[in-house]
Amino acid sequence: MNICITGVGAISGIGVNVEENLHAIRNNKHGMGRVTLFPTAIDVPVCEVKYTNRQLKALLALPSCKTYSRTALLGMLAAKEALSDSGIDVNAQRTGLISSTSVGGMDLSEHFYIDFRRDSARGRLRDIISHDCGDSTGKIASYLAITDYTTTINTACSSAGNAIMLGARMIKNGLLDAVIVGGTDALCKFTLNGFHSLMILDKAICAPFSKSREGLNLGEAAGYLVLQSEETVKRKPYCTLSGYSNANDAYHQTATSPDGDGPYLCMKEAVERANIQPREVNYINVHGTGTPNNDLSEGKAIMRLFGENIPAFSSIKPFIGHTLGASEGIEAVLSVLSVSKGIVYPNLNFKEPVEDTNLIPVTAWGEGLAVKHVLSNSFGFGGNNSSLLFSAIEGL
Amino acid sequence: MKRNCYINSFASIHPAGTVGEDGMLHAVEPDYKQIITNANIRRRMSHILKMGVACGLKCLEHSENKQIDAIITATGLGNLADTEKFLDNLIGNEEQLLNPSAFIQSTSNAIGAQIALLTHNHAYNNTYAHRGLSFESALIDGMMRLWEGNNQVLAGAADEVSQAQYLILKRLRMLENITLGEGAQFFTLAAEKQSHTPAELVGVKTFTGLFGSGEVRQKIKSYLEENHLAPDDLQHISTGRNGNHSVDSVYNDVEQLFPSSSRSTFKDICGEYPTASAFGMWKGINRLKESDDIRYLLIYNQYYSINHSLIILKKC
Repeated sequence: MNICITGVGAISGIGVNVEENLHAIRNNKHGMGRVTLFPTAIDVPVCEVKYTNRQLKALLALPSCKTYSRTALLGMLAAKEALSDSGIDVNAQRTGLISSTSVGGMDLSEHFYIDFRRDSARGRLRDIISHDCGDSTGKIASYLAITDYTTTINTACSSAGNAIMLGARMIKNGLLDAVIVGGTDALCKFTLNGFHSLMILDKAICAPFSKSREGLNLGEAAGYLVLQSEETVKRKPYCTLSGYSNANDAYHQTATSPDGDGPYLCMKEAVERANIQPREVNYINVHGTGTPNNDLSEGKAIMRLFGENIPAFSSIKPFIGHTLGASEGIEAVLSVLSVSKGIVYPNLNFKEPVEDTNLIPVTAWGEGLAVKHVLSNSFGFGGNNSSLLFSAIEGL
Repeated sequence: MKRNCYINSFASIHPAGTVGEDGMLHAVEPDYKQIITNANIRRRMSHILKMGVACGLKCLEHSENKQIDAIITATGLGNLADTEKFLDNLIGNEEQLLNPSAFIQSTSNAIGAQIALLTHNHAYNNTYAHRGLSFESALIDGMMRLWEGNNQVLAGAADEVSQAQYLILKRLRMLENITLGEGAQFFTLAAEKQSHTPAELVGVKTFTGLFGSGEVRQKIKSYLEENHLAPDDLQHISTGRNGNHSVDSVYNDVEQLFPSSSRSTFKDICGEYPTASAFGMWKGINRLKESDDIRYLLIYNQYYSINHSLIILKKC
């Protein structure tokens, strides 16, 4: 059974919809800047969505007096765009929502906690009720009137990849006909400090796959796809989700194994599931965070799988930052468009290749190319690695 | 292809039904040294991590088959203690010189990841964090893995109490006659029965929203029909009754659907928390194991009237 992608939606620091995101990348415009969402002592570039919560609520036609976590607001916008792009009526078939997030409503909880920490009778309660990861999913489901199966996945930075995979499997197993899948994460002080304490934030704009790379930049985003079983498709799909795999690196809590065992395994299985040869992959949207560890391991895993036939590849993280639980949501949207429009994205800020791998990413925007198969990677803390493979539909 | 889903082994770390001085039900913990033998790793683990990881490893030990094709975990609220610890340090130290350990372990997938790390398992690994339906989501994923050809899946859940959570829920008036609890339960789900397999997981259903008890009864009836079962076929009903009058009245109405079935509850032992239904399932399996009169058992649970779930078990 083919899993068709019929809708895409995205919001990030370079645009509030898919078209704005594409436009910015085409024009080499990144969205990095100083932190403005909250006061912080950490002076690093981040990629914020350039709208306040009040403005996001206005875009969603939500009452400005009601409290929503920023994670929920970003998710609602991107999921709404994906759903309206697909043109489906959620009641015309069994339609589910599988959303992922790694921070949930932390943008509000961390605010609540400042007062609560001093006096447990203080802190605005409306700022803590959206703390858990499931809250944003519930808000998105209500906003889009989804009444069938909903759930939330949190496997850190590979969360959205696993949400997309689960959606496809639920359709294949006959439990759903259509499903909105993806992820959302807002920037917050908690994660900024977390990554800072791990000493993996770059003080400049990140340079994935460069020898001189020093770390990652954080961002915030949401990205969703609409997946449908072939039988229920009414519009021309963008492409299919032909392969997917989730494997665990089982090496370290935060670092990836030196030879990229987990990344190698999940890329290999995704390609095998699609019944194609590695050499048929035209483009890889790499995880490419810009940390010394990730890019070396991912590069080695790519060399293990592809040998002499390394496909074109790039990381879009210098444009939008690492958006954690949302990263594979928005990167899947870009991968889908890579297949349907023959686009390859530039790896902004690339300098010189890593000595051990000597891999050189795509550095210029390309469009109208013959792109049939695109692999998209996401790797998370806890060794949670996922790969998705998107493929053109024969005859379209 | 849909295949049967047998529960070959099961393990639990849970409270004993005795409320502590702080008003909460705390899990009775085993000697973790015997289970998580790596002292360095064990020392760094927070309470929920120790509970979850130890419970997962115990469950695996009880299964005749040690080969695990997927590790699927669930938590409603995640690692509350580590989250609070990191947040507290962040504010207290004004963002300076923070220890990353609490941050690393604060993510919901830490339990599943640690089990994979300790058992050198490279297989499918996923974590659900969907409030009162997290555990059910893990079970549904696990059943699908078997349909897709996996032989054995480790699925489980963990949640922990914290003082901050207690104070916040009190202020939110969410503890009216309700006792907060915690625990961890793990199960191996397998396509093949073993010699001591106690139960089969027939099905899991979730639904979300504020429903009257009439609607809940209707949803239960239609789910039973989907599984070719009539209310009379279920000899035992276990509900997530938690002491709150308005919630319990829904459970009363649901029980009326099954006039001839025996009844039990489980939150009197484990307390109320998002993945309490995992303890309900653990208790249900034990009941099936011990009783010769029960063939089918239904667990109906709800979490704050919004998250509803049905779990059907069959004696093997």
